[in-house]
Amino acid sequence: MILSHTIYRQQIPPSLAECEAIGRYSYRIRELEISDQFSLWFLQSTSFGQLSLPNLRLLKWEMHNIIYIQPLLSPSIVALDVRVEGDNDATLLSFLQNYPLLCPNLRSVKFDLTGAHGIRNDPDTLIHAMSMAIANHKSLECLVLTTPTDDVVLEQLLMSPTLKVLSLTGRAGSQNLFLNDISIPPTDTPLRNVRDLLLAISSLSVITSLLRPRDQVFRTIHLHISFPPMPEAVQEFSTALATHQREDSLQSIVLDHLNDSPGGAVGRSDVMREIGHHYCLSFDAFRPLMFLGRLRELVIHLLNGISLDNDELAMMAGSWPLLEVLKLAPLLSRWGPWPMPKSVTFSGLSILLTSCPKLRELDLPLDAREVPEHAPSDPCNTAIESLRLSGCPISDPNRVARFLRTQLPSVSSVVGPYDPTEYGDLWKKVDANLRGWTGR
Amino acid sequence: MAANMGLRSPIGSSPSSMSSLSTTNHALELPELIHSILEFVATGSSDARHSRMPDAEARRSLSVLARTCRAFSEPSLDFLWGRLVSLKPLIRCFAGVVDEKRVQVNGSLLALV
Repeated sequence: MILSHTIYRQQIPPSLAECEAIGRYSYRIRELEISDQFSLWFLQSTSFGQLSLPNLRLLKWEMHNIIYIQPLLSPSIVALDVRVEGDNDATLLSFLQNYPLLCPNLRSVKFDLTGAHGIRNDPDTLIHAMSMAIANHKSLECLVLTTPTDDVVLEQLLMSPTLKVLSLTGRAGSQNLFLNDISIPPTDTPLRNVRDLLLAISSLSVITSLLRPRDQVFRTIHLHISFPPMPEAVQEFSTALATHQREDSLQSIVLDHLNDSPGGAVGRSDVMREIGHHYCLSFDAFRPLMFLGRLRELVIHLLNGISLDNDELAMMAGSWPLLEVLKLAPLLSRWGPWPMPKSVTFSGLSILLTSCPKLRELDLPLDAREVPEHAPSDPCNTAIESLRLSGCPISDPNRVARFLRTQLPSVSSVVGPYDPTEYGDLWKKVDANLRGWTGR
Repeated sequence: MAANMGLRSPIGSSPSSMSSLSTTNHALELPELIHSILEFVATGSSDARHSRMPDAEARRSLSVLARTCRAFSEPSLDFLWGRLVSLKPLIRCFAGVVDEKRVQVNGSLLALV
């Protein structure tokens, strides 16, 4: 930078006319994002410390030096979205103490404090300060946090009558995952008005214990789980989730593996394959979900293997005519020794594509050694552009490529980034054929 | 003769065009209609719809609309300034600022970034 901020301020102090010009426009600003150095410099400049944005409703901050957010904070703000980067503890603590007073009407709070120094050096202090700040808000409708909260505040959040969106993910230092020590009496109904729920949890039973058959109407449930659930736990979760109350509301279910889970299982393919087979999920785990006729997204991306045959897949597909995203690929067990107890083939895939015409994303391990002789000549689906079939058993790459070209003409790639199996080269041939035909 | 030369009467000089203009003005008194037009201008592109932020072309159009007539001026400015991804537009209100990269100090242009 050639010109220092100091020189600029001294040379060109804002005149009365300039202040009037700013006043002419600043009251129109309703949503503001601060993520560039130039804006930060503007706020740092003492001459403009009294910048007034009287109608600002949404403020998004993605910068260091959060102390300079202060002039922007006002009672008009209803949505605050803050991601800090490397701020020191005192600055951040000061912000957490002050913003609830300056913005008493907040309806939506999103905090990502994972980049703060304090979260590594002294997470307990920072988490306590953040929890106390959150506890001030009695009418929050949306809360998104990437660091844990105190248990007392967490219980308050779970019982909030106003929250519609609740996202609690991630961990900090030695802090446990969310919800580990929370126990809500069965007579109470947590998450009463939550529509969209995203949680990082240690085990699936934690969330199952919070589900009630009535008075909870979810739209999306996304769970990051640190340990692979037992098949019985998945079945219990599915049964508790798929109630009459949620038949028309639930549209998206995602269960995926929390990457930084303790134990170091991820990365050790032998351990993952063993877990994948030992904890293999069968049709019983999914059967209750067939009750949810408006499901649009189902993603099960765990260490657990998944064992389904064509008939079972067809039953599931017939129950979900609005399905747009289906991902049932285990993290690594698709590379384990085949066959799984049961497996889907291209015949099952065709039924799925016919039953779910809105499918646009699909990740389903299948046994590609059987290719139907008489596949329909018309395409089943033109929205899906890629499949990840690496590691799935295959014998004739040319026939597989022709089948995919006919049934899924938009698919131009079937190979994942890494395939250590004996089928790797055959899938590369399929990929080459498809790319040649589609020209991509 | 004038018609043969392709010359036309000024807008509003005939009863029919007066009526048309009156109808137009009446339509522009409907805030909902102006809002719909500006919403379309502001979020016409798919990127803008996704981000809910007017892209550069939309901002130019809103800027022009703000100077087109009184009916459009205030609501266009509201759309133009309603959502900002930076304080740069405000900073440009200062006399010394040429744009977000240059500032004029004592007659010399200096870079800010």
